[in-house]
Formats: sequence, C-alpha cells, structure tokens
Amino acid sequence: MNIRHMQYMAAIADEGSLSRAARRLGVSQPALTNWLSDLEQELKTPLFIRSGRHLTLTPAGRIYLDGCRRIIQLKNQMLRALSASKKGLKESIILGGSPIRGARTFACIFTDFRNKYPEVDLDFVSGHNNELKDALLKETITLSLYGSTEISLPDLEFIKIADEELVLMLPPGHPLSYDASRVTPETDLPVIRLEQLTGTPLLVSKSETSYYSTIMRLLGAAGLTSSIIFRSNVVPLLYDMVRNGCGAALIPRAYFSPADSISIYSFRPKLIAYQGIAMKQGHRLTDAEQYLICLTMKNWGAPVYLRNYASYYMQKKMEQEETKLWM
Amino acid sequence: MDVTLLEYLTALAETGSLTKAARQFFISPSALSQRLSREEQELGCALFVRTGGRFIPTEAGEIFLRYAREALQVRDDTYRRLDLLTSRRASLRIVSSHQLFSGAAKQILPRLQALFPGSRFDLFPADSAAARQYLLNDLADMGLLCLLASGDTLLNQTVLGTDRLTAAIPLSLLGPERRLKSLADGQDLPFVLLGPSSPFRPMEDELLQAAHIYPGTVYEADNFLIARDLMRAGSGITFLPESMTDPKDDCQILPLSAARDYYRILAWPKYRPLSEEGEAARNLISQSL
Repeated sequence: MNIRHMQYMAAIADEGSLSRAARRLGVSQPALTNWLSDLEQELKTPLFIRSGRHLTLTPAGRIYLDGCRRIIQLKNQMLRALSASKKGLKESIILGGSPIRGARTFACIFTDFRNKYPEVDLDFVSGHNNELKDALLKETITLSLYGSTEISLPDLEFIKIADEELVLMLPPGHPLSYDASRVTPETDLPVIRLEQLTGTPLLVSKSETSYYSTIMRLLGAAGLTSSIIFRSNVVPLLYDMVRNGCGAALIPRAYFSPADSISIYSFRPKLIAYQGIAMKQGHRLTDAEQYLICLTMKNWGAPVYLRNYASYYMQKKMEQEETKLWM
Repeated sequence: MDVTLLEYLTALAETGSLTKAARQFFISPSALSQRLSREEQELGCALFVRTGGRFIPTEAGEIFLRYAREALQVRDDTYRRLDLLTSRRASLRIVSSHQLFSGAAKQILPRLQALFPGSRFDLFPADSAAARQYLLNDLADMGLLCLLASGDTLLNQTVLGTDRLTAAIPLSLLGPERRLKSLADGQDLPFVLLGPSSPFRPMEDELLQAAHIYPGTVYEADNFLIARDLMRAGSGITFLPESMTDPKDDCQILPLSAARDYYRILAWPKYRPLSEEGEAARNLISQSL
C-alpha cells in the first residue's frame, strides 16, 4: 500500500472505467491496467470485475478500497494538523452544554480527549438552550451539546445523537396511575391524551428548555394552561416533585425509575426531543472536534436516574433467575 | 508517502536508534536516514531531533506518529479482512440486495449453519446489478436480487414474490395533526432518495414525476438500509419497499398507485450446479423469504 497507489484505486472505483481513471490521474491506460493486475496478483484476489465497459468492485475490492480511502483521509488530516502546528496556532475548543446533563457528559469525555489531543485546549461553558444558541452564533463557543424538537435549526447545523421521548409522569395515587414497577426501558407504554388530565395540577419546565414551546402548544390545545402550578428548568426537581405528589409532569423518559411508584404514559404521536451537537452553519470541523463528537456519542450521559434504573432492573432480573433456580 | 515508511518511522521512535530500527526491516541505517530526510524535506519540518545519540520525535514528529500508528492499524485491518475473505473459501457465498439482507441474515444463515455446522457461509450485501456480476464471475454462488423483470439467459431464477415502493413520512416532520393524503401534499417537505448509481433511483424519479413534485431538499442514501435510518431520524419523505416499512417506526405509510411491482428473485448461475449446501439454502429461502 502506498499513497499513490491508493489514489489510483480510488480513481478507478470513482470513474468505473480504466481509461477515464487514467485520464484523470494523468497516466497511460496500459500502465494503469498493468498496475491493477500486479496488485491483484499480489493480493491473490481480483479487485474489480471487468464486464463490458463498466468496472464493478468485488467484495475484496470494496474492503481494499475502504482501507485506501481511510489512509488517504488520515494523511490529509496529518498534513492539516502539521501545518496548524507550524503556524504556532494552538487549537482551542469551547464546548457548551446544559448545567446538569451537559456538565456530566463533559466530565466523562475530558480524560479520553486529553489523552488523544494533549495540545488542544478544551473548555466547558454551561448555559440554557437559548443562551447556548446565542453563544454559538456569536462564536464564543465552538460546539454545543444541544436539545431540540426539530432537526433543522435556522443558522445552526445539528448532529443528532439520540432520540429522547417525553412522557407523562403521574404522581402516586392519581386516578389514572397504575403499577409501573415492571416497566423496563423497552416496554411499550400505555397511551394517554392530554385532555384526560383536566383537573390535575401540572409542573412544567421554563422557557429555557428545548421542548418548552412544544409542550406549551399542546397544553394550550388541550385547554390545560390554567392547571400549571409550578415551573422550573431543573428536570430532576420536577421529577422529585411528581414523586412527592405535587402534580404531573412531562419530562424525558430517561428520568423514570420503576422503584418510585410513579406511573408513566406515552402520547401518540410520540413526543420526541432530539439530543445532539449543534454548531454554527458552515463551521468546518477539525480532527479534534470530530473526535470530541465521537466521544460524546459514546458517552452520552443519561441522568443518574437511568443508571439507578438499570441496576434496579438487573437486580430484579437476578432475583427472578434465582427463584427459577430454586423452584 | 508510503505506508512502509510509516512503519520505519514508528520503529525509529520506539527504538530511538537508526541502526536498531533499520535492522528490523533488513535495510541499512543510511537508507533509513535518507528516507527520513526526504520525508522531512517534503513535509517542510523536522520529525526527529538527535539528543545524546538518540532519535527523539519533535512536536511535529509526534503529530506525524499519531497518524502513522492509526494508518498502520487501518492497513493491518484491511489485510486481515482480505485474508479472511480469500483464505478459507466459504462453502456457500450468498450475495443479497440490501433490502433482503437482514431477512437473509436473520432467517436463513442461522438455520443453514445449524444444518451444516462444519461449513462456512458468507453473506454480503450489494446492489442487484453488482450482485448479478458477482454470480456470473464466480464471486458468489447464489444471489437474492430485486429486478423489474424476471428471466435471464445466464441465471436460473426462482421468483420469491413481488414488492413495490411506498412512501414513508416521519411523523416528526408532520407534527401531531397533519397527515398526507397524497404524495403531492408533501411538496414542501425534504426527500430521502437513493444515490444516482442505484438501480432503484429511476423508479423513485418516476414516482416523483407522477406526483408532479420537484423536491426542494433531497438527501441521498447509498442503499435502502441507510435510507430507512434517515427516515427514522426524521430527515425526510423516503421511498421504501413495502416489506421494509413498519408503522412502529413512527411514520405515516402512504401507498403509491404509481409504483410498479418488481420481483424478489433467488438466482444462481446456470453453468454451475448447486452444491448440497446450495440446495438446502434454496429450499430454506424459497420457503421463508
């Protein structure tokens, strides 16, 4: 494998013809044909099927081409990184995110990032969604963890990482409550219409959260705006208030824990908030930024409740299996 | 730049000595030194400094080495995958169009493997045009194709059934109340179409023409599997084979009267009789796909 040969390979695959690829590369067609058959002999497998005029990649050819493309990409990345370091530019990335979940995610990814890019400055700024958006547009932050109910945002580019369903959580003892202690993250939830909630006190988030406008529109349509008794943008607080019987709330499903005797309902169509990374329209990602996004995808922090939920579920499962063992 | 050079220079960084690094690759220290200085000239910066007789990477050298190690990893992975593909030939190689791929992987392969525990079965995806070439060039023994017409002078074919394209519209694009009555109502929404080289793209273009739609935003996907993922992510109206749509995906499924039926076909070359495994696979596939 060498870079020139990789460029040959990529050109043949793109053009689908030896003569066109030769023209593009500025070499003669017989030379290219010889080169290809030498390579196929060396690898002991055909890389292209020559049928009629068009060349089709074989499965082996596809694997080899994948490898070639990846190495060319790495070389270009290396050259960019080198020229940046020669100019003495020190890259710095400022990541934005929400005070609770954003900060938690940042804490998870910092060490891995630092190990791979020790020369890049990485900083975190917390804020609410509207503040983060302004900061992105003013370029005081580079990238931001961002929640949204829409994928296309004006002036921003958005890379979606996860879908998050907003569900209705009912306090214990509510007339519509049921035994949700067996609900797992995969369970299909019972469906409810907002109109059924007439008379129930409601807890909602403040205008800073991404899904505020959607929720307010739905509550308005169902004539429930007057039932709102409390607003806060601290979602864990809303969850605790539901648990203590203060009212019902519409919050992300990940906060639910089956140990809490709260009942949860889904809507049709489902209410989905997208979680992802936003950047200013037209921003070109550097290698370090791309790596940061990969890390974020891997470490997308569910709130602490979800982790409790998972361990609770595991414990339940083990208990069940033990019972089976003894029976 | 040459991948071997990357190997030389990572060895130089590890050993810190020209002589030791060169010995690993059976070349002379002066040859290695020449390669190094040529590379440094090309890049316009020093990659190593000599301190107390040892070669230590410079800051630029560290950046170079980081990518070099990754590139070597990619090279080794590529050769390993090629080796896997060519070393031990599978008893049966099935090529499948993307829309039938997951069905074949879930329903056929495990049962085949249970019938012939000692044999190796390969299943790989390709679009139907490439799949036909694989069958004719002895790169696959059996193919699951999707074609507009059945009958081929060089292939034996069994028609498994028919399928047609429908439109799947993500509910997140429509909001809670809106539903489309016809494709033409979706004029203002983005579309997900297959790339221009896909054999299905002309069919999709026909459907758009029949509805008199000239979509403003079009995302292109390589195959139906990627197109379906984009649909699930709410990117746009997506044409999917009926067999791939699922109301659980939170989408509106809109049947299209302009869509033509096409065949799902099991094919194998006429010039080569099927092996024992091939016959078993043929039976399984015609029963369950």
